[in-house]
Amino acid sequence: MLYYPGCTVKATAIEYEKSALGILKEFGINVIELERWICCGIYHGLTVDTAYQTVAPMRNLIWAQNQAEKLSIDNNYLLTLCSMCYNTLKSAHLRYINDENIAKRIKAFLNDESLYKGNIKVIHFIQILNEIIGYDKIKEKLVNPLKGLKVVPLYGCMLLRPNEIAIDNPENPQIMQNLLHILGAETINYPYVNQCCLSYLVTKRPYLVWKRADDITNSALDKGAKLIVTTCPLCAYNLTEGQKKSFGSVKLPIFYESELIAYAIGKYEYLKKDRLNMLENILKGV
Amino acid sequence: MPGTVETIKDTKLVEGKAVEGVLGAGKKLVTIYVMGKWYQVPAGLTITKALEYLGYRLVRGVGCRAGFCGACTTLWVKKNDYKLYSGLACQTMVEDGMYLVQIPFVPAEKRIYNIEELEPNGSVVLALYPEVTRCIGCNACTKVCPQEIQVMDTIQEIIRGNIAKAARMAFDCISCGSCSLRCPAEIKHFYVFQLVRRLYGKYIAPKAKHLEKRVKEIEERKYDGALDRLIRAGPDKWRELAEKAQKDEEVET
Ligand code: SF4
Ligand code: SF4
Ligand code: FES
Repeated sequence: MLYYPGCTVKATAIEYEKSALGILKEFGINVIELERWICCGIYHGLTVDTAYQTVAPMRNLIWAQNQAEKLSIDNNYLLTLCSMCYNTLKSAHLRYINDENIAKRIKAFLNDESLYKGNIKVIHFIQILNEIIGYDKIKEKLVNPLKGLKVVPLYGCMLLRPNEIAIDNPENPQIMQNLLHILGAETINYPYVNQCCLSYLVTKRPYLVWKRADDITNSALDKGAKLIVTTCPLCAYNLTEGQKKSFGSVKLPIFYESELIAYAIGKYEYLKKDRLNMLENILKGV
Repeated sequence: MPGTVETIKDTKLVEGKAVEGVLGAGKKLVTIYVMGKWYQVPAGLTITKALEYLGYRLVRGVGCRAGFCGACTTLWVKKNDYKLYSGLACQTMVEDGMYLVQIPFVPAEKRIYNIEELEPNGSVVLALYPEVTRCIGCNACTKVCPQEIQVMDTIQEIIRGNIAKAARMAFDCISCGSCSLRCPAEIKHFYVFQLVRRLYGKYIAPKAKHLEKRVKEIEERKYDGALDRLIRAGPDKWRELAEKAQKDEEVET
């Protein structure tokens, strides 16, 4: 399966890439990084005009298509780890196949690339665990159940909105909780499960982001959570930095779901050393 | 349009006799436009030479004349072609119907930094040039680069923090600025590339051992005697040595 990394997992979320790719390998999924890729295009992904912002994601989709053809990969899956990349690439794909007008403009502008045939299937890491590997397969490999560990999941918004690309029910998502239960953890209900972390507002109005991180963290702490679980590098970044701003340090650590799986199936080599220590300390306390 | 001629008929007087023009009678002429003005020049000239043939004295927009300095950035369009072309005037032959604009220099602000105080990572580059993250992937920069650098991909390597790779990819950049003129994100690629190459050279690339050794020898004044002898040797000896050196022969002083 082809893999689109995205800038964040290469820069600030290295522990996510390490653990997620490790796990996929463990479950027999052959991941091949795209030879050529650029930023998914999120910087313009949330604006209203539609053609120009489709350019960057479309190039990535075209390069994926070309590489799939070259390597005769016929499942046409394109794996993403970052929720934001998932959202941008998938939305661009849908815009292209559903809006003739945009497709026309894109084709005219991208005359330096091959034609996009519209068959790349953008898929997020959690979907692979759920739909392709299957949670029961993960259960079989369990060696360190996270017994008694209370966690809150944080989906953020990019996997759930807009509706057309949602990987689960946007109002009551369960896909992460189901897996966490299999890992032996206890999930707690709290109001921020599908809240936006305010993403790139951190560059313009950071005080809003710090406030949001504060709200999410306090709510989770009140309910007795020991850590926050996410799959989005942006949520992880904003919450970590937000906590440092508000409390002077990280009071409630943020872990990627992949890190918890790696620990639960006993594959410590996929965890960064400091992360492993941190997780072990938390588990000692429960 | 003034009457078009096909070939050169020019001659000039040398010691009272008419001889062929410097550029050769019988050569084909092409029509070009310089700053909107119609001209005919012999085919086969570079844009720089064509301008001088027409009598322009180049003060800005020319330097090495060898494709290395990036001073001669020129834009043009052609008849019945929507594309805006760009290239180095000293390296590009005139073509019939070219509509040329010389770019004396590309305005850009260079951020001030002390290389000694920087760390070699992507965040440092983005802190100095935050506009780099505005890249929308249009690839306009790559299309105009006369050095055939994958400009967009290099910018993208910087965004994801891989400055060593970016420095190697941008090694051939001659700061002509064509890419920056076209960039909708207003990135000043050549300054950004200079920064990543400096960081790479200072902190990442392996140090050249022989260079260190030679610098040390110079500091220890090992070559002072040889230099003194050379200065005393006089012009004839210098000429002889220079000729030898040009032929890559061993030079003893
Ligand atoms: S990267 Fe830009 S400035 Fe450098 S040579 Fe290419 S077009 Fe010119
Ligand atoms: S021209 Fe600017 S915006 Fe377009 S790809 Fe190049 S760097 Fe990115
Ligand atoms: S004059 Fe130096 S590159 Fe053209």
